[in-house]
Amino acid sequence: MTNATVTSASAGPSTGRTLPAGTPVLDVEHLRKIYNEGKPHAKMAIDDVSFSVDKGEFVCIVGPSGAGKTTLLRCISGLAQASSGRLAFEGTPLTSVPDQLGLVFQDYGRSLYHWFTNAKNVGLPLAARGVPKAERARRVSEVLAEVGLPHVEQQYPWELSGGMQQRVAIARALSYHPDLLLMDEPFASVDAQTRFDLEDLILKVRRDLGITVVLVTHDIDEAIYLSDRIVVLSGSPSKVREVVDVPLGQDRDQVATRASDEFLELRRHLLDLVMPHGA
Amino acid sequence: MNATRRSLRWLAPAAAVVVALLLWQLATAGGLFTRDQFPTMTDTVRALGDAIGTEAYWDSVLSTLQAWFLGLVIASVLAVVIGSALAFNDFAYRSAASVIEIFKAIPAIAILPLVILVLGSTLEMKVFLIAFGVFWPLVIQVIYGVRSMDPTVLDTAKALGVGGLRRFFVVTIPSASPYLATGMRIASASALILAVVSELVGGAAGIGRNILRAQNGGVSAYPVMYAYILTAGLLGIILTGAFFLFERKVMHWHESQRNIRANEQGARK
Repeated sequence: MTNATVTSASAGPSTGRTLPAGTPVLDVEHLRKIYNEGKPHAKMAIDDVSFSVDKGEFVCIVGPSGAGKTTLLRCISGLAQASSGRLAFEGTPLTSVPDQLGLVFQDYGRSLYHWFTNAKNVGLPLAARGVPKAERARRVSEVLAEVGLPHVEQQYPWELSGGMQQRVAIARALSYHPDLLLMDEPFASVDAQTRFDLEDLILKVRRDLGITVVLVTHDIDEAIYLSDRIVVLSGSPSKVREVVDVPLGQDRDQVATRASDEFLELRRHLLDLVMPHGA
Repeated sequence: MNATRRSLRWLAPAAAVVVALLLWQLATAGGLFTRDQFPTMTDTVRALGDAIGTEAYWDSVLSTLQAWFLGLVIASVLAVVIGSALAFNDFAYRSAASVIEIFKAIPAIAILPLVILVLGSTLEMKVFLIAFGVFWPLVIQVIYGVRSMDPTVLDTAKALGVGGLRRFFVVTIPSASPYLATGMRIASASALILAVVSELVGGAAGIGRNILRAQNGGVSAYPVMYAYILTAGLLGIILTGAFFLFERKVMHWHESQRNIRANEQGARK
């Protein structure tokens, strides 16, 4: 009801959600995930993962392929249940997907609903939150403009290019002003140029909205370019190998940042962590 | 150039119909069949023309359509509700699957005598028979449709906080709709067959009963009988066409419809 106006004005939509200072947006402690637990074909995907994300931070999770990155994301988003460990979103134990969490999937082609126009796709989470129609329309235009896609409201997702579709998906996740944006390999299915554009878009969005972002990727360069901190996972079953700080500052540039000495030094260090040793 | 090609697309099927009618006339008037076996095309068309002017004709068409519509609606609503409930619950689905397969295998016509005994030659009898006949294949389509939902589609709904009835109507049903559309198209055709049969055998008012009456009316009424048979066929074509247009409109977003449009555009170039 009044959620809509309150959200844009103050920090959170529901009453009494003023968090004590220093409460992390996301807190993961000794997370373990075993598929088919207790059965003969049980498989441990995540062994022991702990990290936390503070308000306003941009954290990337990287790891070799098959390291259980998607499983980890499903657990920390509340889509999957952890086998053991403690997960908290803004201080509250995680049982299902929290209202104040935005999720962007890798596969925009399946995550956007083909039967809806872009406007209806973006407005869907608002409708589910009871935002009235007029307010919904205003916010849909606003957020589509934010991701650089004015004038696509009446079109269908499948009428747009891949990069534009992923922008719509990002707009949809941002439409209800979530506190945390969680992204699963969001730029893995687009071409290189579009990928750079989308990376810069997400940095801009983060600057504009002051949103906290957690992004899962297999691309080390992307992780360095985007994040303040990188959680490096080991191979399956995953553990945290190291948490690397990325002191590259707020302003980043696809050419200059990627060519800087700090960037290259971080890249060397991360590659060393991710590449298989011995062998 | 473009206009001639477009008119050709309509002209060719129309010409085929005309040829078929001429062959009919040749076979009957030429003496291959006698009048008491098969009436001539001209007699039949004349009988149809006469019938169209009568109230009884339109009453029978409306009776058949009414039963078709009610049976289809009742079966569809039940199939969507029950099918979805079964699809969401693995245990319920496994338990019910064999029962549904058995009922689906029973030809609806086989229970016609029982239904006539219980309900008589009434609209209720027709509607029940149609609903029973099309429910089982429909419910299976619904179950398949809901169970084959893309996991990403469901995850997205959960992530966006779309739950409950809203999720059902806005996500589950559209995602299962290709299955539903196929099921409905087939159900529509069987519903018409069941309506005519229940009138023909069960004596309820409608096109089927008028076919039977004309048959009992002797050789002179044969053209009338065929006029009603033609009517049943035309009704089938109209309903199929209506479903085709409906599907094209409602399912325009679906990949299959997008491909059809793209191919049509490609063919026109």
